[in-house]
Amino acid sequence: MLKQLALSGLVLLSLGANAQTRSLEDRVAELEAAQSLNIFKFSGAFITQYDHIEGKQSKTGTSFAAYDDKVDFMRLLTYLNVDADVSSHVKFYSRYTVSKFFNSIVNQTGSSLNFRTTDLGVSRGYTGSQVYLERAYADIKVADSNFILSAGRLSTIEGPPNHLANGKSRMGTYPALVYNVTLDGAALTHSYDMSGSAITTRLIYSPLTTVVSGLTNGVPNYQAQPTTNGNGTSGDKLPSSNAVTSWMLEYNSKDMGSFGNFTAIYQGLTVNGLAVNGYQVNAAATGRTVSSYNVHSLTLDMANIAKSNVDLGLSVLSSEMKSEGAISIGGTPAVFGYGASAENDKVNSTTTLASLRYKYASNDFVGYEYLSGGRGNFIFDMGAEDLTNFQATPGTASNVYLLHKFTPELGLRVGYRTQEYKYSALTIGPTVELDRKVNTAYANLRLDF
Amino acid sequence: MNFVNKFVAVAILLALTPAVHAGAVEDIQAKVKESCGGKDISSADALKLVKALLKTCADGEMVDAADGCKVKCMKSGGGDVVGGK
Repeated sequence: MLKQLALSGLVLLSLGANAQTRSLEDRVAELEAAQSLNIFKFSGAFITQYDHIEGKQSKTGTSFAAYDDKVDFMRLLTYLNVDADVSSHVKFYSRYTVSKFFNSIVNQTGSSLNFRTTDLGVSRGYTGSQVYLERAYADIKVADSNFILSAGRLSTIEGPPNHLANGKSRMGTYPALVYNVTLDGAALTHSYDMSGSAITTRLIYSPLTTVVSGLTNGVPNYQAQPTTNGNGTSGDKLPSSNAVTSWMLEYNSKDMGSFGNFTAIYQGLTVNGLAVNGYQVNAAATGRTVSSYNVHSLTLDMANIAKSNVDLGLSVLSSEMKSEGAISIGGTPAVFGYGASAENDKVNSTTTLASLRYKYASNDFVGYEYLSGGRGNFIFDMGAEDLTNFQATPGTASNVYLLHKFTPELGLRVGYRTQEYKYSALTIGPTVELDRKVNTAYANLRLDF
Repeated sequence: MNFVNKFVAVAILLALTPAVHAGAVEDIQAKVKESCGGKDISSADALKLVKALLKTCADGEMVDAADGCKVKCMKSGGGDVVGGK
């Protein structure tokens, strides 16, 4: 014990002596040297949410039943960001996420189509207390140019206008209507900075992968091509990857006259070779359909309009799903692709989302969102905060909320969402008319740190 | 590890911990000078504004800086947007 006390005294004395004898310049130089060794930055968020959801539908169909139910959930989502300034040209970003219901003891499910449990959405799938890698990518500045090459698990969820309801700056790359899922890929970004504004162009490539492994017929793992029968050994050959390609053009002004901050984002996106095989529809079905999906979108984000403390987000998405081929059941063509009711069908759709937020006191906001979702819209929103696919509603939906910030880091938002499904969501086969109504009362406590 | 060892470890860590916001203070002083009619603020006052101006504010938000003068949020994205904002 005495030895340890003496040691601690010596350490403190030496530190004190250093502080007194070394010049200020030396100490600053030492601090800068120490800082150059500290390349890591940590941040994160902790969110608890209560949802009271009431769902009701009277129409019935082959895939839809009448129901009138009420459910209550408590859930949490937390993540830790670990970023590294590797060098002046290389930065690395990562996020480790847990999302779960409180004390989930029974999970009644018969659906295999919960995409939130796939790689694209599992970090926001509320599947349990396990930690998922939600972000892991590097930004690599190309020499001394304005080009940045990015590769890895990209930040493609929680895009505009989702930041408004959270009282935060832009939280994701893709506008939420375009694609709100976690995508791995590579991107090339070019920024042209002007005084107070910037034009950014970005090209993103994200392959969707089908892996064939674990075969028992002697074909080595990862060397067989996927096939229409799903076991990699027979049937029509399918590609092992389908490219999701996106291109973006952004204009941002930090001080554009009437706007405190103005951002306009055009984004186009295309996915080719979305194959559905007969066996996925029916064990006895044959054939397949192949679809391609194309999107054009425009998103505007206007902060502090005319210094009125009003923020406005507008997002318009126009999409087209084209399908070829047919799946036959009992020898008769019966299924023709996503939303398709005939062979070579096209499904066009337009969805609009408007988000308005007003800061009426120094720590208080009121917000309203309105969505008009077209028939056959395809909004992949597995990163959504809500459980009811608000932004993917094929019909109309609204969200009104109050946000109070106890501190800049801690906010409580209470709100009420209404959704009126006029049509079924886009999936295999034609969409049908619905009369589903979903109302959600929620409270969201968010701590950023 | 007993208390004394912990104390020694913390003392060493504190001595080696870098100034996290080195450089940010000067940025804030310059921003306040630009936005508040040439007003100079001390390093200590700028240090108090680091969190509000660089971390907790949102795009376009005006943050109280000095004597009623407001300064626009200086936060930059850290990984939220691919290839930077």
